[in-house]
Amino acid sequence: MSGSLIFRLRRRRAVSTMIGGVIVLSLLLTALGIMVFVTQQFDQYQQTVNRMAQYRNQQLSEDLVATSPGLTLVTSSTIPGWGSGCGTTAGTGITYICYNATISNLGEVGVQITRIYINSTGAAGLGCSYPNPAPCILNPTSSITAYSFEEASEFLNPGEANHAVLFALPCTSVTQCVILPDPNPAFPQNSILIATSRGTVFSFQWPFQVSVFGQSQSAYSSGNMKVAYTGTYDSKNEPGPVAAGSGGTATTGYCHTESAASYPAAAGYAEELNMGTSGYGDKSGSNYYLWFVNPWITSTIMTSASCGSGCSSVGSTQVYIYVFLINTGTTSYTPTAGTIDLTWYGSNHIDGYLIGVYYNGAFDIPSSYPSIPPGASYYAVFKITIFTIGNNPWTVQSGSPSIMFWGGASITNGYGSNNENQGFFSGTLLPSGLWERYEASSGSCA
Amino acid sequence: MWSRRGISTVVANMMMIGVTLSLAAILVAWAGQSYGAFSGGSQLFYQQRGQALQENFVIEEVFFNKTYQQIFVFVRNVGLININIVAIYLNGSSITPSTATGHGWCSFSGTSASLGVGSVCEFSLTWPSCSYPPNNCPWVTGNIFYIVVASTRGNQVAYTARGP
Repeated sequence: MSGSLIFRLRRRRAVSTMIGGVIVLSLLLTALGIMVFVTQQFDQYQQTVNRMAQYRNQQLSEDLVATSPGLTLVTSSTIPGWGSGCGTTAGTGITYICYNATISNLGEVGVQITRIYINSTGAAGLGCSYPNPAPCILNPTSSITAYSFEEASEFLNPGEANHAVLFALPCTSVTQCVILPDPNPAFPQNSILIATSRGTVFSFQWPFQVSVFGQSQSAYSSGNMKVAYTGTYDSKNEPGPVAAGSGGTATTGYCHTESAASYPAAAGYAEELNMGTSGYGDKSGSNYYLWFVNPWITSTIMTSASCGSGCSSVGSTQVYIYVFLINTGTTSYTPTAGTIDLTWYGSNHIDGYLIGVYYNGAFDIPSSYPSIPPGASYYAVFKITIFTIGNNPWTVQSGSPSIMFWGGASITNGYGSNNENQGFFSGTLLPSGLWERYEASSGSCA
Repeated sequence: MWSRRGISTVVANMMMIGVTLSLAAILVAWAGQSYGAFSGGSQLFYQQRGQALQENFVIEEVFFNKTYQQIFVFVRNVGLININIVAIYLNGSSITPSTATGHGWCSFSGTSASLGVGSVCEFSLTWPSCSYPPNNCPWVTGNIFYIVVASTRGNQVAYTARGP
């Protein structure tokens, strides 16, 4: 009896083992559960870390650049899908000044533009400077409103080039028109910031300052050149719409449609330069004036200005050409002389020599040429002396000719001892279509 | 005698089992509490760190308005969650943005300004009281300004600007 009790008690040692095991097991399971829970938390945290790392990688992959010409004025009144009321100046039905920003996405990810800031740094009251709202803050909208950009154009795909972002600034009257300053010669006066949805900000200056060819002291602005002529044909009679009678007529053999504007005039205007008492141009009062229009010489003007190959004097029409130059070097220089040679396929030439420079709104003759500091721009004004044009190039060659330009081998003072420092520059002068021409056969101006 | 020894053994065993169970209960309770505190702490830690990581905001533009003697700071929430801006420092001094006076402007409501995901706030910082004549408050052109914007989760963004 007692023996069996002891036996039973001894057998209960297994119970203690079980109890101990349960305790240990519960502790282990609790610890395991906690570890699993903490691991889950850490895993979630790690997922967030990875997600944000990916997000930041995408942020770093954004790369927007403004491509030339940066901004262009929208001339059409209606922008499909956005609205109407755009114009280039204040007038009836004009509510906005609209611009087209050309942006390229060089990055590896798509980009959403969320806001555009524009700050004008020119004269007060021009563009986005006080007392106008400064900076101009443009938000995306589905329909056109002042200080907005087109919502449909806010997304840029990876690698997309020359994407157009349209934006509108207000223009309720002549005095309340926010037009971004666009000086000619081009000089940046607007700082444009583009903010993306990932928080990156890209910026560019507009208008783009042209510096090409990497010359040490001067550079040539491709396509920025204008022509003036006096005598039988006079460019001062051309500015304005032909229909209004201010210019020539188709039957007289020349016509032009650019409105006149004083220096500095924006592109597309006949630019009036006060030539001082230099004797070049049309006299008004004590000063002389020339009206420079976009590159444009009709056959009749050429005939009048030309006296044949090898001719050293001019005919009844005197032609002038100015070329926009900028000192892209690091030192100042004083122009001293220069030549120009426009060539068509090596046989037809328009040659001339430097008669002065137009700098800071004044014409300077050779004896008083100014010193041009680095970064400054000026016009080199040439008087054309030789026309060696056998035939009307416009009819001989279809389309606009490709013209090579050599100029100013001695346009500078020969700073240094090699040609590079003498400001020699050359290049394809005019992109196709820049030269305007007159089709005598059709009697229309182009 | 024989049977009394058996009783003692039983009592001793029961006492040992009782003591063991008591210690086990204490151990389990302690361990549970410790594990609970650990797991709760880690949960809070990871949650807060996760939220702080998801928070992302930038100063996308700073504009100096000399006429009004104000500095406009544009802060955008480009993160994944809402944020609260609690402090703005200008050259080490805490600045309270002025009251909202125009559309889209932000000011501190109470002690913070809330920004939803993707939204932007324009804070207008009025130049702090200036005791350095003759400037009489407006900045000196060329001076460097170090602007820091801080959120409730401890994140900061800094922006260095030069006075125009």
